[in-house]
Amino acid sequence: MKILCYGENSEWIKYSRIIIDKLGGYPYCVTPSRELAEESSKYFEETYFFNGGVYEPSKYCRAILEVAGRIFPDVSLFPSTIKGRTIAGLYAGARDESIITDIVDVDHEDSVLKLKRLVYGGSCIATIKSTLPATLCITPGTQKPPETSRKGSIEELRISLENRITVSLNPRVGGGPPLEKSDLVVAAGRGFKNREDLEMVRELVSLTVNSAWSVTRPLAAEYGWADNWIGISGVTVNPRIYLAVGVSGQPLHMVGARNSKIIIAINKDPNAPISQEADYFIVGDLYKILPKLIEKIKTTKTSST
Amino acid sequence: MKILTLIKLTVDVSQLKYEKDGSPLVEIAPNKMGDSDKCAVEEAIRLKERYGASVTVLTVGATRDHERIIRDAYAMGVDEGYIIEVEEYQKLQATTIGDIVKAFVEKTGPYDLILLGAGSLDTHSYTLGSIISSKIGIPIISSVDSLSYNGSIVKAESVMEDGVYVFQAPPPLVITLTTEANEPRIPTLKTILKSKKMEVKKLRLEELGVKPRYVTIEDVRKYFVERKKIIIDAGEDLEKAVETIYSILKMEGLVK
Ligand SMILES: Cc1cc2nc3c(=O)[nH]c(=O)nc-3n(C[C@H](O)[C@H](O)[C@H](O)COP(=O)(O)OP(=O)(O)OC[C@H]3O[C@@H](n4cnc5c(N)ncnc54)[C@H](O)[C@@H]3O)c2cc1C
Repeated sequence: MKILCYGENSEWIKYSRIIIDKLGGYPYCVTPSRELAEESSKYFEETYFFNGGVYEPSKYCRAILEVAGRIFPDVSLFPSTIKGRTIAGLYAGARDESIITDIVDVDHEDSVLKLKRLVYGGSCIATIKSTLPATLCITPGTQKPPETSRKGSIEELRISLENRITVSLNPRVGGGPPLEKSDLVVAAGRGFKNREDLEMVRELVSLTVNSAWSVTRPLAAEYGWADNWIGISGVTVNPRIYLAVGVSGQPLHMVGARNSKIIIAINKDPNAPISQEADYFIVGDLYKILPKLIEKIKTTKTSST
Repeated sequence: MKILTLIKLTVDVSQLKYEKDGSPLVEIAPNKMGDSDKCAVEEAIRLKERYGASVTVLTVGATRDHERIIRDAYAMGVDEGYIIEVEEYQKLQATTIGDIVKAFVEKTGPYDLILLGAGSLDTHSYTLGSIISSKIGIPIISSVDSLSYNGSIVKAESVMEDGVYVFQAPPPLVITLTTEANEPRIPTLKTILKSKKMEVKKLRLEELGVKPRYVTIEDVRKYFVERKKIIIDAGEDLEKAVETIYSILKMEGLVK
């Protein structure tokens, strides 16, 4: 089996190698920059790259199709991110092959793929069979293949990337450790009334080890209060503790957090859906609980030093 | 200007109930027009009001609910609605929907804009817009949170993990919209009454010359991770609530 992966970012490049090993195939990767190609060559036998510049799906897709036209992949892998899905749809449409998204597990019997995918907003998992060739969008995970000293080949693609669509990016200013690697993730939801109130979350993160914070989709996409969000259309995390504050716990959000070891939720509504998905469900007002918690950590710290 | 809007009948996931073995009771769950599809209809109507566009709406399926959502779109201001009749519409592969839209556009188009919801509530694959884009050969702008048009250029903003993207291009375009794009209007009694009298046109796959391909689904099960579900009422005992969170953080070695 020949497997072609679109190497969107370095975390995904590593995780995709786990999926490839599960399927058992010869791996090719296409990346939108030389930097990512260097990363990819540690895990892939053959890597192709193009200088993609700012993301624009049809431009990116053209480069990936160029490689597919040379190698004839049986399976093509994309991350189930907004960008990954958009490019994958263009790709599968151009190749007229089946496309399955939100995949959380892969398996195969001979030339039939057996895939588990999230459906109904993350409330259910469906088991689906697919013939080859197929385009698969995988929900990114955090596992990594072992480091090797191997170095695969790298080739630059020389194709025209002209476009009818102009695009510009206002990048977000990041900060703190990446969510995917944190042991504690504090997630803020619409229970927070003002942007300034997130200061409490920032303070809590600054008082704890290897921790990071994020939000639910409305806080990031609607209000613009944060860099990223957790859930089906955002980031998937698997920390040791997931502390959800003022989050109702819609499945679309929870699929990004269900791999956490311990889930603690603070919510004033005793019937919020998250009450069914938390190890510790604290019923109460976040505006009373968070300041006390911060104070407790601070005073215990000063008394022990 | 001619606009085509695609709408999907989707299970209202928030009202899904389950069998004891965890299989979802999809047949008895209520259905509705997808939330983001409704935003696509709204956007089309706003363009119609400003630029005098004609708006056609299309859905695929064969139930009374499909007729209902076409009428819902009529009540919002859509001019013409079609149903492509397919019995097992829930199992159609996304690429087949792409073929259907392509054949439909060849029959009734061309369109300046094809608008649809970014993702549906039930399968949320976020790929249909780009499949259509590839098949018809019109560029796509996907997952748009805010759209504007000045009569010649479309400008669309999309919030993604690494920042806000601003795309600009002239029609023709395929555009997928999120639920942030707008607040769909509530139809008035008058437009609802009018919608009931409008004709819903129907076409069969054979009339479009499309051969359907289906997804093979083996099993669907509730996805759930069992949790301890220990409840602590902070209203009753704030100290205890704070102490509980603190001691878990401490136990995991996460307090500095
Ligand atoms: C196609 C699609 C994709 C989506 N993808 C995602 C995704 O990836 N991630 C995501 O997060 N969402 C996603 N959503 C949105 C999702 O459906 C929910 O709307 C969202 O997760 C809800 O966010 P929330 O919990 O912050 O807000 P709400 O549902 O409004 O919940 C707020 C909670 O705060 C509680 N609260 C209020 N005040 C207080 C207080 N003082 N103290 C304590 N608690 C308080 C309330 O009881 C309530 O439970 C998506 C939606 C769609 C349609």
